[in-house]
Formats: sequence, C-alpha cells, structure tokens
Amino acid sequence: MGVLSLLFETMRFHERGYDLLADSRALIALSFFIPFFAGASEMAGQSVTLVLNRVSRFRFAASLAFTGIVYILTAFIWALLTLLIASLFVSQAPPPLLVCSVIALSFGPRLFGMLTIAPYYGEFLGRLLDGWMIACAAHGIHALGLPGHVAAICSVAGWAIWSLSRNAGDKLLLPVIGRIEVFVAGSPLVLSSRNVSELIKERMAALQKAARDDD
Amino acid sequence: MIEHWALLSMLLGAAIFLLAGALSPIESFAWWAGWLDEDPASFPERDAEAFDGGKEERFFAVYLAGIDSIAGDKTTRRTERFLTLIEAAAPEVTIVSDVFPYAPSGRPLLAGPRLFLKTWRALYRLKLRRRSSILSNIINLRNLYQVLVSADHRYGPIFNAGAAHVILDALLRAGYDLEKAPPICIIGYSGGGQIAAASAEFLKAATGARITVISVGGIIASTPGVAALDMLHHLYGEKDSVQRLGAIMFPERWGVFPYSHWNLAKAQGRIQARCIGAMGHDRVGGYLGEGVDEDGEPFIRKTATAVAEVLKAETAAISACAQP
Repeated sequence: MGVLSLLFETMRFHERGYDLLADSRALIALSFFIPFFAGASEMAGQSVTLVLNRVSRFRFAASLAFTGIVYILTAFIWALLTLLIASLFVSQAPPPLLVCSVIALSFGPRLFGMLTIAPYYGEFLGRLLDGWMIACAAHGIHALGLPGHVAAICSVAGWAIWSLSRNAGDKLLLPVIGRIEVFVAGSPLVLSSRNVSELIKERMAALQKAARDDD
Repeated sequence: MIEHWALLSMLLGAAIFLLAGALSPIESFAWWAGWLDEDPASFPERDAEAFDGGKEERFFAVYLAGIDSIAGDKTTRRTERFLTLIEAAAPEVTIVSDVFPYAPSGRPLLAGPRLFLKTWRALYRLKLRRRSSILSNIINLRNLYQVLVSADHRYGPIFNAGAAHVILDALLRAGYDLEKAPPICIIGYSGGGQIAAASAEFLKAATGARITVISVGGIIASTPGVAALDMLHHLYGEKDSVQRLGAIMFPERWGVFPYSHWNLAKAQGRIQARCIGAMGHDRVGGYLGEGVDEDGEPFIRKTATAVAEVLKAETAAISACAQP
C-alpha cells in the first residue's frame, strides 16, 4: 500500500509523497522498480513493432523485460545528470539516493504507457504521459530543495536523455542497446509501422504479377 | 447508496469502454501474425465455377456498410433497398456488397472462431428483434474502434492491407478481371468511408486500377490511402452532424496542416464534397432512411440517385478516355 500511496501522491504533485520517501528506505528501494514496470507497460503499448516482426511469445516477454531494464538505466543516467547540474548551481546537492528515487518515481505516469496501444489517440496519449512524467520530475527535484530554475533545467536535460534513448538511443547514445535488442527479439526489428506499408504494397504487386502470369 | 451504484456503474462503463479501445488493435495483430490460420501474404483467387460470365470488363463498385454492420451477407432491408435503387439507376455497374470491412480478415462477427462469438450472436438477435438499442450499440462501438485502427499510423497499414485483401477477394469472386484491371469504385457509408479510402493504397498496388471512393456521410481521416485515390466524392446531408466529426476528430484534416494527405488531395481537386439533401446520418431521417426531403423525395432514393450519378459520370468519363 505504501508504494501505491507514494505513487499517487507524487503523480498528483503532492509534496507529502517525498516526505514518505525520506522516511522509508524500503520505499526508496521499491521506487526503483517503477521505471522497470513503466518500460514493460510502454513496450506492451508499443508492441506493434514486435507483432509486425512476428516475434515469438517468449521473445515478446523478454522484450518487455528488456525495455524495463533500459528504463531503469535511463532513470539512472537522468539522476546522474541532475546531480551534475545541481552541483553547478548549489553548494550542497541533495543525497544521490534520494535523487535517483525521485527520478525513478517520476516514471509513474508511464505505468499507463500500455494505454498508448489505443487506436489513433494512443500516440497523443503517449505525448501527454511524456509531459506528465517531465512535470513530475521537475516537481520532485524542486521538492528536494533545489531552486525552480535548476529543477526545470534538470527535467529538460532528462527529457533530452529520454528522447535520445527512445528515438536514437541505439545509434547515438547506447550502441550496445540495438545489438541486445536484436538478441532479445530474436531478429533485427526491421519492420516498423513506417515501412510496413511499402513491404505490403511490394508483396501485393508481386502477387498480382504472379496471378496475371498464371492467367 | 444509489448514487454510489450510479458512480460505480459509470466507472465500470468507462473502464469497459477504455479496455475495449485498448484491445481493438489485437485482431489486426492476430491476422498479421498469422494466428488466425490465414496467410496475410496470399493472393485471393477468382472462383471460376461460382462465376459463369467469363471475365468482366464492366465498372465495379464495392459497397462497405456503416458501423452497424455485423456481416457482409447480413445486410439490412434498408441497405438492400438502397443497393437495388443504385443498381436500377446505374445498370452498367456491377455492385459487390458481401464484404465485412470491420475485420482485416473479413471474417464476420457471427462467424467463428471468435472470442465473443456468442455475445455477437446474442446482440444480433436483439438487433433483429429491435430490442435494447443500448446493447446493440456495442456492435457500433466495436466497429467504430476498428475505424480508428484503420486511421492509426501504427496499426493502419496492416488493417488496411487486410481490408484491401477482403475487397479484392470479393471483386475476384464477382468476376473482376485482374489482367485488364478496370476501374474500381468503393462506396463507403459512415465508417465504411474511412476503410474505403484507407484500403485504396493497397488495392491500387494490387490491381493498378483507377480507384474512386464515394463516401456517403463518411468519417474519413487523413490516411496515406487518400494520396492513392484518383477521386473521392464526399456526399453529405445538411443535418448530418456525425460526418462533420471527421473534420474535427482527425487533426491532420485541420487547415493548419496544409501538407497532410487530406489537404493535399483537396488542394489537387481530388476531393469533392456535395450536399445531397436535408438528411441526417442514420435512422429514418438518415441517408438510407424513409424520411422525406422538402421536395417530397425519400432520403434513401435521393442518396441512391446521388451515388448513381457519380457512378454514371465515372463510367462515362472512363468510356470517353477509352475511345480512340
């Protein structure tokens, strides 16, 4: 119940959530699981890529878990960046463990990432969840005693990390992720919703040609 | 206490609504992944025995029903009458209507294997007895979600490829000649308009034919299929507020996106909208309803005449082009 109320309080921008966090080491430890589940939920919502590439059920589950781990890693990098930026502006930065925990908690809204599977409006919902997550991070960093503008800079920097890890992470930031992704999914995820149309059209045109030749 | 129950029922209803939406793309996933024992890569075959008239060189039109459709071969009396009126007004056109467009496999809601087969059958029986319109609206909701799947950038390609497959299958069964690839017209009523426009992209790739869509109060998104269309005739009623939703609920149709598929097609003159009377979207006062316009003509006849006019104009233009 403790984690749920902690999540509930932080997601609605209530400082009581951070008080709960400061009082309990168990809650700090549990908060690190939030990015994992957020990642798994997000991947379930975006599972179209896996389905398009026809991965097996085991590989499907492995991909969910792998995304969860990538999210934990992202949260960790974001926390390090926050500590680095904070040290530039204030003489005494907040405790690193608490910063990591606050950043991990800000992934709370992304637990609803699975809902991005909803047709047409799912993508828009994903953007809303992004905004909510970044606002949670800014509020959390501010609640740790850092000035508002520092919290804003940290959350924008975190957003940049977040975007890079999602959009170009496997090319720019973490070259190894792309290779692990191939290993986990069983094949390179070459089909995306962008290129699947071309593939189907080529296939239909080829089949049409074959059908005409048969006639 | 009653207030609590009312609140709980509303919350439960909202949860079911959201869950149904979240699960709606799964049928497309299953079809694409081959879990439905159908190969999405196979090409439909023409049934030579079922068709005894040799290869047709006629103009073909496929009718896609609105979101209250449950199976391609279970059309309502109104729809049957509507199609009869079009056939009478445009006898040179072969109309194909046994298509269920709200599933990428084309499998009707009443045919198994389906998870909720019994539910759909029960709802269909209710619909036939004209009982419980709230419950029978579940069919509309299910099909509406499939319209959104068709409009989605992520799932749309696989759903629309399936729909194109189903349409082509029906055309080949009706004697469509793939070699000569005569023009194809898709008449889409309501949500059928979206599937008609979106599937055009793949239908064009499969046939190379001219593709025209006649949207009857269609709710159409700015999908890549619109770019593949040679012409989209949007027919609408003065009192139809539902078809206006399409312009509101699909942001890429807004004027602030001049380079969207929809707005480009509009700028190129490939989308023509025409008000055909004072009809609404459905029921008695709708496009296929028995209500009458100010001039005393029933709406159903008015709609059929407008559709037939477009079909005749298309056939005339094509015949003129074909003549040396």
